[in-house]
Amino acid sequence: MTATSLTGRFDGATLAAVILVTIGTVFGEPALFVGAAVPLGYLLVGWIATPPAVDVSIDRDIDPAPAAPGERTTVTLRLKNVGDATLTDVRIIDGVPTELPVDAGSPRACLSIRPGETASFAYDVVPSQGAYEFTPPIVRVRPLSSAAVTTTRPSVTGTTTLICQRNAGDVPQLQGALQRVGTQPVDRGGEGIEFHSTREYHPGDDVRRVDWRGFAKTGNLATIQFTETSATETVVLVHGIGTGQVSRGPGYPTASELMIYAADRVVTRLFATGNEVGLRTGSITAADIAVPVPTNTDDQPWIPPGADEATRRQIDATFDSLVAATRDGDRNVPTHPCGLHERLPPNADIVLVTPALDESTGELVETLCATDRHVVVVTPDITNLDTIGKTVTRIERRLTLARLRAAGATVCDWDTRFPLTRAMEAAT
Amino acid sequence: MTNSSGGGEIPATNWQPTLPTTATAAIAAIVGTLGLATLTSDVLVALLGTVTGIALAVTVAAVGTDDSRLTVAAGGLLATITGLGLLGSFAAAAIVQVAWPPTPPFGTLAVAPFLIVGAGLTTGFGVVTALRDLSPTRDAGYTALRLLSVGFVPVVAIAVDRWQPLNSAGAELIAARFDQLIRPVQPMSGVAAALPKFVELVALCFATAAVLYVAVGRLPIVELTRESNRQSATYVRDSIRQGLRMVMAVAIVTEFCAVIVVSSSVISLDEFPADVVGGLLAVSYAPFPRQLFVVGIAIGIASLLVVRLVRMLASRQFRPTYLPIAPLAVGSLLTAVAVVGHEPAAAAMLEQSTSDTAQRMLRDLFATVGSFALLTGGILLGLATAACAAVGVSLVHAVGLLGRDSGTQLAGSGVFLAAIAAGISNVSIPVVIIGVATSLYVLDLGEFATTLGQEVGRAGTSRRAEIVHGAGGAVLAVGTVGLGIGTLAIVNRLPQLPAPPTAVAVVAAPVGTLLLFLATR
Repeated sequence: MTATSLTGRFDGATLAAVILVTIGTVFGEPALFVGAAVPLGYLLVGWIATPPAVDVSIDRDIDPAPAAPGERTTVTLRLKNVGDATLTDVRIIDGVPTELPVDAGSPRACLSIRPGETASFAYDVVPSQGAYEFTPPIVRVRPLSSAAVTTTRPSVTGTTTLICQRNAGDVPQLQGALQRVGTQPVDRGGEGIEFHSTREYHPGDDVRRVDWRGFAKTGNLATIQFTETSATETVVLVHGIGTGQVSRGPGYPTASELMIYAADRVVTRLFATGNEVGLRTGSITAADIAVPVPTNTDDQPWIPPGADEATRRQIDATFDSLVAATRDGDRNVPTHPCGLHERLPPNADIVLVTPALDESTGELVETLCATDRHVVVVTPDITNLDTIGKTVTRIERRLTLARLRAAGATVCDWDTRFPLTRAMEAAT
Repeated sequence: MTNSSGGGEIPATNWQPTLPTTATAAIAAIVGTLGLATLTSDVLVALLGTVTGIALAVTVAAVGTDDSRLTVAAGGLLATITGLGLLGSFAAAAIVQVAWPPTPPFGTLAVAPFLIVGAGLTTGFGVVTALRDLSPTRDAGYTALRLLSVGFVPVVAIAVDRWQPLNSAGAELIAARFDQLIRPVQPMSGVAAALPKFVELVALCFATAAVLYVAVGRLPIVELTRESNRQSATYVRDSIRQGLRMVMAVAIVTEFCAVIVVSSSVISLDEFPADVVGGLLAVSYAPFPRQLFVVGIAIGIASLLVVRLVRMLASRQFRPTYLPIAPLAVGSLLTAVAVVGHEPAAAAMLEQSTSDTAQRMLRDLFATVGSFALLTGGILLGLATAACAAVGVSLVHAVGLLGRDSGTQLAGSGVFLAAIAAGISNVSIPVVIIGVATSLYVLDLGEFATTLGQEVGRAGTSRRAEIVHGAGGAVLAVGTVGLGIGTLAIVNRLPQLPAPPTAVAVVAAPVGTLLLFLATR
């Protein structure tokens, strides 16, 4: 739908002309009479002005697609003047979904485009998990005099939907926070893949491990030893979904959503490297999950460590339910998970994903570290210094993280303005 | 042109007129006004007016939009200077036309310098208003209200100075009664007079206990005490209050009994033992207990006031808009300056006056009005002038002559006034035409910046479009100048008309017809 109108912005010139003529008459000054020609000129320009045609084609690009929760996503609009006349004043407002916060730049712009030229502007949004449908932008075009205006909502080519999903984005490498978690090489020769050393042949050694090349050179029989690995299990604890229902600002992903995303990325990495991974969360019950999962006595999901496809499916389904739970609002969650220590495998490492916004995190980590486990804490930081209350929360969280480090945990403090992988690979 | 711009919070400053175009309009307005004033040889009064206009806008920004008490106080002081500057600007426009010192009789003064002052004032005010995006209706009107609050203390001071209540009979009577209250004189044979004085003493005792009871309750003794001592502090406070309550109870009972004895025709004081009567007389007329009670009342009331004031100032609920603390403080400061400075100022004025007539006139004025009232009146005049200017802007907006882009409208009007002044001052016609075109160019840029600020905002990409519109607007202005000069050339080619009224009619007829045609379109 296109609307055209005259702005009447030069109507004031009428008053100016009347004043000049009147004062010119009173004082008998010809300069003021002649001066009235100037506002009359403006009035004439307003009179001949016609609403311009909106000859633009618009293309929208969203990068990255799909986006990860909390990831800064750039939306770029390109406008091409497909007409023959220069469009001196093209005002455009992109149809950003109301629930999608604009983090940098502005979805509004005023552009000046020559025929055949393409002008563009970009802005950043921060999505939560889900799909966001962009509506066509509103475009308003004025001629150089701005005395008339045409407003329309043209169609857009390119991307119109922003998809944000948990399994998008990079997977953190094992060099950072996850360095000491899961299957680890030990400085001992034995079964494995990677060469470690050779030793004297003992009767009964597997013939496939005999160093035949060395035997050919030296005539001595030796047995090859490979680097052994300590195969431990890893349990990912998703803790504090209830306290994490806070975000950096209106529309931004909550700490809970970011926690689930971080947990998903950790699980993906550990599975990819052949680890046995389990999941424990007290924020939902098994009834909330689409597939049957093992539970503890409180009917909360407790997926024991495993490396098979069934475990992966159970964990994925649990994450999906957690995402749905975060959208339901606050939930009454016990701060101390029931029977946690009894159910944890004795050699299991722990990856705790938590917003670290309450006292229970410190107590939990201290208890876990006291049992000689490797504990990695991944915690999204959604605090800021906007208000006194938020500042206090930020300071309290910093103190909690210091307490976790003092207890011996590896803490990955994820500044959510930047990618998770960067934070995890930097944490040691 | 409204549409969602996504979630998140957009600061209010985003929706202000875009800065590059507004700044261009402001520069064009200042250069235009001062340039035209230079050509009319009134650049000094134009500068004075511009500076005053800027000061008035800063006053409005400080007093009308800011809630910081310090800013409001500074704005109040600035308003006084602004008002005096405003008066001074118009005085300067008159002085530049007459010899100094001004000596009657005066000839007819030219209008142009006054118009130039108005032009400078409007331009200065408009430029700052545009850049700060002030709202003339709300901000200027609110400023006027606060400035009236500033004037409250000086007005009271002048009233007190003129009325002199401390020297009046009423004040003397109050002082005598107070003296009698704290230092009663015992009559030689005044047994009967003992009881009324005793009633008075007991009433004083009750009042003291009551005031102290309330004051002790309000003092934040417990809140300010360390946590470990709070229980003890609470106990001490409650004990004191309990004691005072007992004093009040005893005083009420005693007062009741004494009143009965005084009003009774059955009970006579003569029937009381002589020692009792003597003791009653000694207690009733002793000055020390009375002075003690008065001091107690004074301490209690002072404590209550101080606690109330401190709590009020510290409270988050308290805002300067609720109580005009800052304006009243500024008014008090200005009054204090007048109290301290009126005598030296009067002496300096007398010293500076060169003629006997002037000295005699000043002496008569000081004798009649008083130097204090004169100086304070000057301060009040400044304040009133600034307030009137602010109200004037609000009124102009209220009648619809100023729109949403009022800042640049005012700045453009300033240039327009300067162009009219130039036209009246017989400056060359092309210059007047350029002045009028400049004023409309400023208005054009202002409207563009305002709509851009409202539709796109300062955060949006708009730089190139602003440059294009600025250049296009300049081309349009140059075109209208060409039209004006073309009109001038045509007028010059026309044959001389027989009489000025005929000429006016000849020119006004086509212009008026054209205007009517365009206005009714």
